[in-house]
Amino acid sequence: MKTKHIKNILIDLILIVIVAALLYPFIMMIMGSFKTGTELSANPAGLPVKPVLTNYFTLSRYNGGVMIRTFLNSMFITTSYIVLTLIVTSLAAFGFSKYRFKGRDAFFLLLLVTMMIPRDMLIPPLFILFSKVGMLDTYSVQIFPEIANVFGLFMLRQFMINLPDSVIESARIDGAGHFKIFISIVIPMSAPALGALAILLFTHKWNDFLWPVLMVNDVSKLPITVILPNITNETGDVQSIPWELVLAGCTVATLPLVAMFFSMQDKVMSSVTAGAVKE
Amino acid sequence: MNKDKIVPYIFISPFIFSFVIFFLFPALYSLGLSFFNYRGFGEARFVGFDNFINILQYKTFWTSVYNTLFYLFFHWIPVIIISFILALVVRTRSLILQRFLKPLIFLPHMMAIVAASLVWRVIFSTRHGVINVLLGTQIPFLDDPRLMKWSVVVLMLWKSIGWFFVVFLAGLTTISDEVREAAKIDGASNFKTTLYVIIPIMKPIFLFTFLMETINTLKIYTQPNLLISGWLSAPVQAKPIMSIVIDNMKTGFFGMACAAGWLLFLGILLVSLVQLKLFKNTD
Repeated sequence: MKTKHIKNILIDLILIVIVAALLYPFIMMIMGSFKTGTELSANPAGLPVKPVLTNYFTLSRYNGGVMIRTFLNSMFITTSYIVLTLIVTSLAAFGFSKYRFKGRDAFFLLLLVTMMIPRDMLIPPLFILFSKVGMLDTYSVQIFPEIANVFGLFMLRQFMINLPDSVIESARIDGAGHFKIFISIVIPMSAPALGALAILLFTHKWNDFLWPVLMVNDVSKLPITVILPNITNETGDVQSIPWELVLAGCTVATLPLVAMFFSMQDKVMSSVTAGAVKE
Repeated sequence: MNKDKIVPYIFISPFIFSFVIFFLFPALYSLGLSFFNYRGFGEARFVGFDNFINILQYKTFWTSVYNTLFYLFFHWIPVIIISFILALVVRTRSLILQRFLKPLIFLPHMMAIVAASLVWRVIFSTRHGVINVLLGTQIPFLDDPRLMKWSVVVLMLWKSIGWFFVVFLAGLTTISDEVREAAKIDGASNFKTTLYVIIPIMKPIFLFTFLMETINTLKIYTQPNLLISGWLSAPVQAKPIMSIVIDNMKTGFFGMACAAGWLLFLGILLVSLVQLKLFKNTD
């Protein structure tokens, strides 16, 4: 009995060491953001000897406040994108799940087949199209192109199919219109699925990098992810990147994702693994 | 009654509209462009299959295919082993410890991709990097053509363990204790139960994670480029397939860029078809 006890404690300890190792890059980023440039190059691995907040102050003033601006841009772009996508996708999911109509299955099949085409490979043609209609360098080009989210449609439709028809029928008998039923019955009942989709959309959009790099040149409209690799010294010397500032920037850019994660852990973990396990 | 007939079309119309203008039309346009020589302005010249032939004869393209498969293979094998063992072990722990460990193991997956790539750049840096300072060495993890791909593999491995772990843990919880107990009564050791009972039950989940990860890795772009070059210009020895698409576009070869994109699609299509076939067999 005693050896089993010791064995258990040993396994616990090994697990904690592994987890600490997995978290190290994360912790290193935060520690590094509190070091001066000279300390970071001499001591990149350990705790800051004398933690300083200067990196965050420098960053907030960097290049005329560009970090604050782009952080707010990311917030704005991500929020608008989530709201629009949820509206457009839930409307379509309702149509596809609770109505029979001509062409429904053909439409749906078309959507599923095209789901395999990776969005990023359409960047070259979209670049030409957006430049022709003057949409490059705008917020719109970062918000609108992905609002018809086929994966989201699939997820919401699957959920709505299982909503009991009897509830919808009885509302209809009570005289509720189609749109009224959608707003006051289907949407509230689909809240768990909408929440899960919102989490996926948030992590996806916040991480957007390649798309804005190519579609947007105007610094005042870029998201924060594009600024991070471009932080230079005030002198503009590309050869010596101020890594302490980059690490502070990375910490700031990761914060919203981590905050969301810790405020609803279980929900986040079950959303990002949706589809893997049949329950 | 006629009014009711158009109702579903109204519900789906914003979606279909947005899908057609931002996805279907660009996709068809891309397919068309892949048969033309087009610089983004001026005349487009029809060239038949020349773009595809050029890319297939282009040595850098095959290097990028090799690199992408290298990334896929060498990060996927350790990820699946480490995550599965972690999930097996964590499941035997007390509930308190489980609730504590699960989100922490998952956390790296939530880190912004750009931030993760840059942080690992600091870890691997030759002169003032974390590893080299700790070891007192100057190993060129990001500059040596043989080492740089492994650095990318480590980054991808680190970023995906959490996701695999949570999927496997969820899969393990669906296996009822009775199955385990039955195996134990039959005299099977823990190791044997895992090998002959648990792994076969988990097969569809292994398959799912493998195919998801394959599709995601085939279109990888940001991690190798940012980790190795700090921006978009990873050297040939580390370029992924998506780089061929983007590099051609940036130098104004739109037809070639589209053709490279469709070749990438063919790869993904192949994997997806395998997925459909395998899933049909297991269900």
